[in-house]
Amino acid sequence: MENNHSHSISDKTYISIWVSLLILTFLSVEASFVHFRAFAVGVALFIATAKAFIVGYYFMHLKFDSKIIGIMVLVTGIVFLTFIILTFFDYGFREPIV
Amino acid sequence: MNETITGHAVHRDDEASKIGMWLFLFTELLLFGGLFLVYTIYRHLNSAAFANAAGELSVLFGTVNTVVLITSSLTVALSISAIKNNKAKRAKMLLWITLLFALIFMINKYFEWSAKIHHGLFPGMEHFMTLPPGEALFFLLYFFMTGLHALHIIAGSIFIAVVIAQLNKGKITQDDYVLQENAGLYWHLVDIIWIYLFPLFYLIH
Repeated sequence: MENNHSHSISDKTYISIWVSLLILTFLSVEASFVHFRAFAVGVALFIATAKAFIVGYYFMHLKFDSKIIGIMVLVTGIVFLTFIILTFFDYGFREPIV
Repeated sequence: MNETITGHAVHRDDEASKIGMWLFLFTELLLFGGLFLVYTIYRHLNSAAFANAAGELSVLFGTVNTVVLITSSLTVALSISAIKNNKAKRAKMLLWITLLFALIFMINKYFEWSAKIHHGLFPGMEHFMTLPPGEALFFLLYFFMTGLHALHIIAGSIFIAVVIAQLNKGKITQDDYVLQENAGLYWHLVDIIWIYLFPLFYLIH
């Protein structure tokens, strides 16, 4: 979509974004029935993150809003990821509880 | 764009208003983020029990509610592009449709929760107390996180109702629609949280 003066996304584009979100939803349902237990969580989270990105970038208008908002979103995401990773450094290296 | 009303210049900063909304959304993200962290750790420690317990949830209900929320996000986005094009009537209609989707979501949730409660799976109920610890944790987190999310659906619906009222009064116009945009941001955030809740609770086999 070209960046025109009104900084807006056409209704047609919105509808194709909606279709892509539906396709990703059905993909993640389908993927969950494939038995790759090790990958299952990863695949589910990857698809969910792709959907969240699409919602944020187009529906929440991060594509057109000022860069500062995008940077703030990124920083919040990094803070959250840091919490998850650091917590797993703890649990991942503990002796299993017998 | 300063218009004069009763002699005073109106100062508006739409971007600051949006940044304020985003700051609030970050606190919401971290609220749910903390819960996701709890979920992740307990799932890591009880993976078999979580998979077992998740079998009780209906993938169909979860999928239908995902589609409902994604579609409601579309109608909110379309209503904002309608007001930008000075189509207040269309914007209002699209927001009413959003509220209808919110209602469908809550009705689904009601039937889903009722079935679980009927089976005694609500924390503190008789059957719940006999579950293995890992499965009890799953249902505790399920009720807490989907319940908190449902509260957000209610809050978002109230926000959208306020926007509809302001549209009726002509207070939201083609030149001043930041309130509607902020309501939209909130609604999309609630959608994003569900996008994560759905695979984490419904799609473990």
